[in-house]
Amino acid sequence: MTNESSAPVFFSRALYQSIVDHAHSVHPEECCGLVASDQTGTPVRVIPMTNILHSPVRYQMDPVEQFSVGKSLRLEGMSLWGIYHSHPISEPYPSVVDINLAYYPDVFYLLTSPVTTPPSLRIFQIKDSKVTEFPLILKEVD
Amino acid sequence: MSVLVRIPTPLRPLAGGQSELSEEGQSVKEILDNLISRFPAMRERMMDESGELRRFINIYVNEEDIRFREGVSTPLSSGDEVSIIPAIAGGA
Repeated sequence: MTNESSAPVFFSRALYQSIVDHAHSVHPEECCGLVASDQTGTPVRVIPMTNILHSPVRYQMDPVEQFSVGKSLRLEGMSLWGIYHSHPISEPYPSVVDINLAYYPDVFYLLTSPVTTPPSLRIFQIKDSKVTEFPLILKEVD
Repeated sequence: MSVLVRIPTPLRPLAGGQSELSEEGQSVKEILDNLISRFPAMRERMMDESGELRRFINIYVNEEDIRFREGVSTPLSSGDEVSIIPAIAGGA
């Protein structure tokens, strides 16, 4: 459920567009990827990843890519800020599968669905199977 | 023999907040056993009911996934880096 008292999360429109474009490019498969933040904690980079399941209802990031990107971010002094994926045929809200496999309680989970116009993007945290939604505010300028 | 173990963000609260630590062991299994002995709360997050490594926990020795070597029996050399990386997965 949306927690209206949650602090809003600011996100650049350019990053939003990168995620939407990725979702569109692999539709009807689910897309997945990472969002990295700089040393100030500001999300600055979208990193598209390969969904090795190539499925419209499931995703799993390529573990080799995941390892490689994680190492690169560490060496660049960047951090994992968010994990995104798409729901090509359902609303962008964490499914039971998403919740059960949410191993990263301190990052944001971003979900997009290309079925709406404009494509929606919603942002959550998932801790101890509890979903908290945050208001998302898109910024025009980084 | 000592190797460096990299702890992923979600498991750090269970490992005293450390992002990396030094652990003794001749194989990945010994490293995991010693790690869990020091930090018992990590067992449930990493192992299933039968004591096997959970399917969604990936472990790398240096640059290589242990599933492409000898699994948890993969031998270690001094100075190796062991990275624990929870998979990222889900679905509609």
